[in-house]
Amino acid sequence: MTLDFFTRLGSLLETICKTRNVDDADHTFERLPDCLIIDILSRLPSHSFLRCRWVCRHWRALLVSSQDSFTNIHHLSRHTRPMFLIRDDFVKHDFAKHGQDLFVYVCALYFCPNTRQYRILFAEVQGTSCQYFVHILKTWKCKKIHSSTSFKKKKNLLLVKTESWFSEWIKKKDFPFCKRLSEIRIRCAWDLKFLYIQEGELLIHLQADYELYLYNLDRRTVKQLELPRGKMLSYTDCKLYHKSFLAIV
Amino acid sequence: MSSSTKFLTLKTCDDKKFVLDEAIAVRSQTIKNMVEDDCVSNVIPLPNVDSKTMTKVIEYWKKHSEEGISKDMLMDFDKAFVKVHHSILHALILAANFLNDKEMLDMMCQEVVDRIKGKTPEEIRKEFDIKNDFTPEEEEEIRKENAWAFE
Repeated sequence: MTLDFFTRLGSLLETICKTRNVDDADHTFERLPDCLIIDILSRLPSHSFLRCRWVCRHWRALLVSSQDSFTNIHHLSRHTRPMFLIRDDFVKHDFAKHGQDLFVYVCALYFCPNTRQYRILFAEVQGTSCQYFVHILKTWKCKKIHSSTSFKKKKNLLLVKTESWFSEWIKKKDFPFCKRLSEIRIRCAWDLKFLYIQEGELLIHLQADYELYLYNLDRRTVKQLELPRGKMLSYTDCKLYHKSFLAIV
Repeated sequence: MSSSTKFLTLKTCDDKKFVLDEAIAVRSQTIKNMVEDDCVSNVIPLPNVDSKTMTKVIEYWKKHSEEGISKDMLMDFDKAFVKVHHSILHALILAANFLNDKEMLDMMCQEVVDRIKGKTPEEIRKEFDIKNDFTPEEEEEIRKENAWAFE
């Protein structure tokens, strides 16, 4: 009787174990350690990466919890040192005509893996003094990082500077809409908005046309985003949707 | 090979033993650390790896340690090596992760990436036998969230 009980218990256990094994095999990819899943998914190009949020709950939880910084995970896994995306040969913006002997040099757009932020580094030179700033793209704020002797800077200039540098930089490139740019003659930097950056792809909004473009830094190609039903977009709309744009592309 | 070729014995979780040249086994950073720290007695237990997977891993290590093998041959080998069912791929990733062989892990992960790339969520689920565990309500919510993409 006892023996019988144990044999039955044994076979029962075996069945349970077997079933569990089969089950496990069925859902193997959910069983990978989180860090490995993130490692794998973060190697994907951005649109595939975003799509993975819709595969299953587990992946969604992993990706959504990191949504705010998902671009950064992307880069973090591969870069431990600041990564330069655009290096400029010291473009000079002369503000002397404003009655000020001030020169601004924008140096580079880079990704800082420690703070997980995209930043633009630039220098201001006045006479013999020089001060360095970083512009943090996520917050649109400027921070002084180093200066020999500090001098007063013109208010609001910094924000405009980043944008004007960007449109300057873009004008030099061979964009299909460069012609268009010269037609409308950018009155101010606000005509061309730099919305977002991810995986070396810049999302650009051309105010005059209400159109969105995606510029790939590596391949130096530009792609116009097709908007559903010929929708026109204002800049504020773009800000709200910039993440889902990338999903469509 | 030097005359003092040392051999290590690896024991997988299903109690199978593998005798392997130390020079090859140290491709695994985990084993290498053990050897360097001198905590290798007779048998190195590998509690997270089964024999079937270990056979594959060793096959990979041996190929990559072969003398005078050309790059092209290795590439062909790698290509064929990763073309396995996803459950084996999964086991190999876990093993490579545990053994800490970065080169191999990289290769396996890249294969998974290539299989996911360009696929719709439904296709990804099918490829890896992942259950769609969203409730209809959640699916609707996701749909809304990404209304743009579905338009």
